[in-house]
Amino acid sequence: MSIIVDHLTYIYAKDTAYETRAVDDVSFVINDGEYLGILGATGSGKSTLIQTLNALLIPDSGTVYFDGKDIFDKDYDKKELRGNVGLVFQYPEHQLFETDVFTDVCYGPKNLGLSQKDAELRAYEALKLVGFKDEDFYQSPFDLSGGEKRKAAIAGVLAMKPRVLILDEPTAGLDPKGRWEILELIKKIREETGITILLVSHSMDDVAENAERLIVMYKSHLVFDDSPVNVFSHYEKMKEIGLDVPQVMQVLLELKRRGFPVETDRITLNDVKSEILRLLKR
Amino acid sequence: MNLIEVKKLIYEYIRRDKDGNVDGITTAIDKVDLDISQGDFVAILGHNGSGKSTLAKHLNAIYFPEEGVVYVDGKDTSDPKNIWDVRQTTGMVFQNPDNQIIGSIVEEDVGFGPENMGIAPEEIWDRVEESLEAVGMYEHRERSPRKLSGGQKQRVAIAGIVAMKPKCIVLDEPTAMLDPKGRADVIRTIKKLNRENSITIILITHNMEEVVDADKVYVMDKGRLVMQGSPREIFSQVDELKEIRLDVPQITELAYELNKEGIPLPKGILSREELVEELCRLL
Repeated sequence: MSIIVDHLTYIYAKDTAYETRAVDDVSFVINDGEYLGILGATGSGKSTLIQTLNALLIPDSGTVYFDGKDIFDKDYDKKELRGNVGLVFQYPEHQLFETDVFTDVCYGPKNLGLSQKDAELRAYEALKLVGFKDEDFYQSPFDLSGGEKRKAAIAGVLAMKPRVLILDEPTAGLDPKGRWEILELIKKIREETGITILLVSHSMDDVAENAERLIVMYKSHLVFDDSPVNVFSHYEKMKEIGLDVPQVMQVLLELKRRGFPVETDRITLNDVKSEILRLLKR
Repeated sequence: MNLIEVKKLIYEYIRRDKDGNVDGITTAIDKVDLDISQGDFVAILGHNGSGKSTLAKHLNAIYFPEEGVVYVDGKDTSDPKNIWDVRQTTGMVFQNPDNQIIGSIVEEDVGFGPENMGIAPEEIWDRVEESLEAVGMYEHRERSPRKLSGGQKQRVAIAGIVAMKPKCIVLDEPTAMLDPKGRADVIRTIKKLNRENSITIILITHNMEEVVDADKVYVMDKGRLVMQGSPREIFSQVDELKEIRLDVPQITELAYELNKEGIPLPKGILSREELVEELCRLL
C-alpha cells in the first residue's frame, strides 16, 4: 500500500494580507518500502508538505490517501495515522523530556493507548534497533552526546511502529561521523523493518548516496519527481532553484565540457571513480 | 603582538550529582596554544565535543580560562575590567539565526549592538547602512527578519556584529541550518568581510568544503589541537582525519580514492577545478 498526495494545497494566514501559498497543487505517490528524498531550498514548502502527511496540518484543498483512505475524512482515525506515519522533526533531541531514555521512548506507544508492558516492549525493541546498549537505557537523555540524543529521539518515533518514517533533516548540525552514523542507521532500520523512508535533506551528497527517488520542491511547487540521476542531470535548473548537484558529478560535467567522452549520469563517489578510471584506461 | 593569543588554556566542565557532589570532570580544552594575527581567515575543525565551541567562547569572554591565559588585542580576558573591550573586539555569530535576532525590522536589529555601545544616533544609522551593504542585505533593511530565509537571517545577524566594528568575528557553525544557497551566500559574505574590511575571521565548521580557502586550519580532538596547517596540508592527511572522526571534502576524497587505484594525482587536491586540471594532464 502507499501514500497518494493528490493536488494538495496549503495556505498560511488565508484571507489576510500575509496569505502565503506554502504548498501549491502538489501531487505524487510514495510507494511502500521506498527510500524517497525530498529536496528544496528553505521556504520551498518541504516542511509544510511533510506535516500534512500525518495530518498535523490540514490542507486548504486536495488531500492525502493512506492505504487508499482519505486521511482528512472526518471519521478517519488521526491517532492511528500518527502511529503509522512517524515524523522525526528537525533537531528532534530538543523534544526529549523524560528523566531517562527508556521512559522517554515509552511515551509514544503509551500515548497510542498501549499498556505499560507493551509500551516497554516496544521501547526496548526500538532502542535496540537504533543501537542503544542496555546499560545506557536509564541514562538521562540530557547526558548523551548530540548523535546519541538524536538516536534516542528517533527510537521514540520507531516505538510507535510506524510504517512510514519521515525525517526532517536528521543530520543537520552533526559532525561527519555523526552524520554517517545516522544515515547508516536509517539504512539499517529500513533493511530490518521494510519501513518506507522519506528523507528531507539539504545535502545533495546524502540523497545521491541513499535515496531511490527524489521529489524536488521550489516555491511551493513540485518541480521534479524522478530518480536521483535524472534529477541531477538538470544541473542548471537545480542551481537556479537554490540547490546543487553532488560535487563529484560536477567533475564529470567539467570534463565533458572540455570535450572528453565521459558519461555524466554518475552521482555517487564510487560511480564517478569508476567512470574516471574507465576514461583514463581508454 | 597577535590579535589573539591563547597560552596553555585549560577548561574543565564539572558534573555534579543532585547532592552537589562531583560526579565527573570533562576536560573540554587541554593545554591549547593558539596565535591568530590580525586579518587572518582561520578555520577550526573537530567533531562534536572536541572543544571547538568551548574554545570559541573563550575568545569573547563568555568563558574564562581555568588555567592558562587568553589575550584578545593585548588584553587579558579574565580581568573583569577588560570584558567590554574584549567583547567589542571579537563578535560572535552562532548556529541558529532565530536565536540571535531581536528587532522587528532588519535595520533596527542591526542597530541594537551599536546602540548598546552608546554610539550617537547619526553614526548608528551610518553603521547600519554600511553593515547591511557589506553583507548584501541593504535592500531588505525595512523588512521583518521573520520573513527572511535562514541564510538571509544569518547575514543580518552578521551585519549586527559588523555594526559594532569588531576586529574579529568568531562564527560557530553559522551554516549548519542553511540550504545550499544560504550556505554559499553566508560563506561568500564572510570571505568578503575578511578581504575587503580586513576583519579577522575564525570559522568553526563541520563542512570541509567551507574551509578550503582559509589561510590556516586548526583541527581539534578531545580538547587538544592535533593538527594545524594550510588547508592543503591538512586535507592531504586523509587517513589521520578519518581516524579522529573527520572527513575531507568530497573532491579530496575522490582524488584520494583515484590515487589508491594507481592514478598519479598530487595529495590534498581541494577544488573541482584543480582535480579537473590534474585529470586533463593525464588524459
